[in-house]
Amino acid sequence: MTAPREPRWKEWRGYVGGLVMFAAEALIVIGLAVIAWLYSIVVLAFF
Amino acid sequence: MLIRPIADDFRIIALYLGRILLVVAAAGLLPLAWAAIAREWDPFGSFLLMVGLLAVLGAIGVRLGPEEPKLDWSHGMVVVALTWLVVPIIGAIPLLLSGHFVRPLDAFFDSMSGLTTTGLSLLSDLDHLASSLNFWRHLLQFLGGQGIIIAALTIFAGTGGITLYFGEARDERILPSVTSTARFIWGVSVVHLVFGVAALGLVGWLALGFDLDRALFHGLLVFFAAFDTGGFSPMSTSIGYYHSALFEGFTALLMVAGAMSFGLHYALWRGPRRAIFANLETRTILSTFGFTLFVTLLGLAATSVFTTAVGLTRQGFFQVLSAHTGTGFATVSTAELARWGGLAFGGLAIAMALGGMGSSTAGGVKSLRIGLTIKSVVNQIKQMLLPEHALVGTGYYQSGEKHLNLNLTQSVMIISLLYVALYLLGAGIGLAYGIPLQSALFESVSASANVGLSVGVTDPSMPVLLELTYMLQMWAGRLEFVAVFSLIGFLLAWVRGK
Repeated sequence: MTAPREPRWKEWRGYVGGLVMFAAEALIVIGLAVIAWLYSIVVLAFF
Repeated sequence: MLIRPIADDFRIIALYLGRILLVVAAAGLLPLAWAAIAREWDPFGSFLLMVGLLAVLGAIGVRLGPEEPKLDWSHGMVVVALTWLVVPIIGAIPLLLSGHFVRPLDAFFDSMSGLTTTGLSLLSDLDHLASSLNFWRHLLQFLGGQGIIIAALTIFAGTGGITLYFGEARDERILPSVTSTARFIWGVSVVHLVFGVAALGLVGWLALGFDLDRALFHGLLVFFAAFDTGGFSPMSTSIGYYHSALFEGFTALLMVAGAMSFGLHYALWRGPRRAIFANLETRTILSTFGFTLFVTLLGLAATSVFTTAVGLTRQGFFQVLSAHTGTGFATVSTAELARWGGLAFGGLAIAMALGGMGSSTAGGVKSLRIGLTIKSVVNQIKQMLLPEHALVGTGYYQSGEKHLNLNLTQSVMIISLLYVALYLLGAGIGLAYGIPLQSALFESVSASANVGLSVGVTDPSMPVLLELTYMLQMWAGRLEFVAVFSLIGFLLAWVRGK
């Protein structure tokens, strides 16, 4: 007996995952940069 | 008592080393083809020599191998340590014959720096280097970052695959078999290759006005060095050459991706995504990155190096990210970096020393070890403050609930301590040559943690002993000591064993 075939959308999920991974990394970098920018404004105000 | 290795031990090592050299020879065909297409005939000849030598040595090794090889732990470790010595030596041939190095040792230095994804360089006149040679330098970083062994394991796994895998400083088996793990690592890399080169190439072509082929060439080379946290760059002024915030942004993205463990990539790709921020390693690296970033920016603001928030963020953020991920790209010159005194200098040096995540392409002590060290110190303090019979929880979350037992604590402490010793070794030798403490320590940490940021100590006129020390630091730092000690033990057993 062979295993039932996975729905087509699940087959594509594997490929979409790569895109999600790349997008998540972009969000991490943008988030960190925004925090750094806000912090820079604060420290420059002190000096 | 040391047991002297027998002929079969040498034959097994020769077999696996031979197979790996054949894989590297196959990789060497890429710059060979590149040189032929670009009609760079001098580099073509030197690549032919290199590939031929790798193929002949590889074939001899395979021929010497026993019929039923049984690779045990010590064989695997010796193979890994030797691979990371032999490949840079032979890989240095095209660099040596290029005429861009003052001493033959300098070409070996660059080859070792490339393979260990460090990024320090002694190459003169980089801006006029043949394109195929520039490609080879960056391909060395890609091979080293991905792991030569990973490359080999996708082709042959055999019985000893797991030993070779761990020997190359990877402690995480993401999928049930080593081969499927190795293939997943390549899958992640291909996704980044496609998106990364396309993004950098488009920025070069549309925003910087490069020709399309030049934009893609720079995109590919910068991708190799960014994703594998290497730090070589196509031009002598590193990423500062492009003067583009967008280019720096995509490079930063690739550096972050390179410093993430492949386990984390797996979680982002396939899930469960909620567990990502519960991991001790993720929390540690976010905390240490935040700490070193805040310290560096504060130091830069205090010394008035930058007067606008945008300038301060752009330069400080990129340099700290480059240091913490172990990449070594810079958007400021070496001389300018050397002028970043006080807190900014300290922030960068700490970021380099801590490094990225385990089982990634980054170097340094690594986040999980830092997290576990902090946890064990906190546990010790709790134990002292609580009543004698009180039990302190030792659990932590890292891809599942785990316990910090004594064996793990000991192993974490030993490796961390060895890194500190390695940092001090290079700094001490630098000091002996009259280099100021700050610069000597910075450059030593940069070499040991496979970063590549430089304040000018690494220079073609540097003393030979210091150059050799940095090479030893890059080698031992990349392999996280275990394979290096195994090789020393094996040699000792050969000489003094019974």
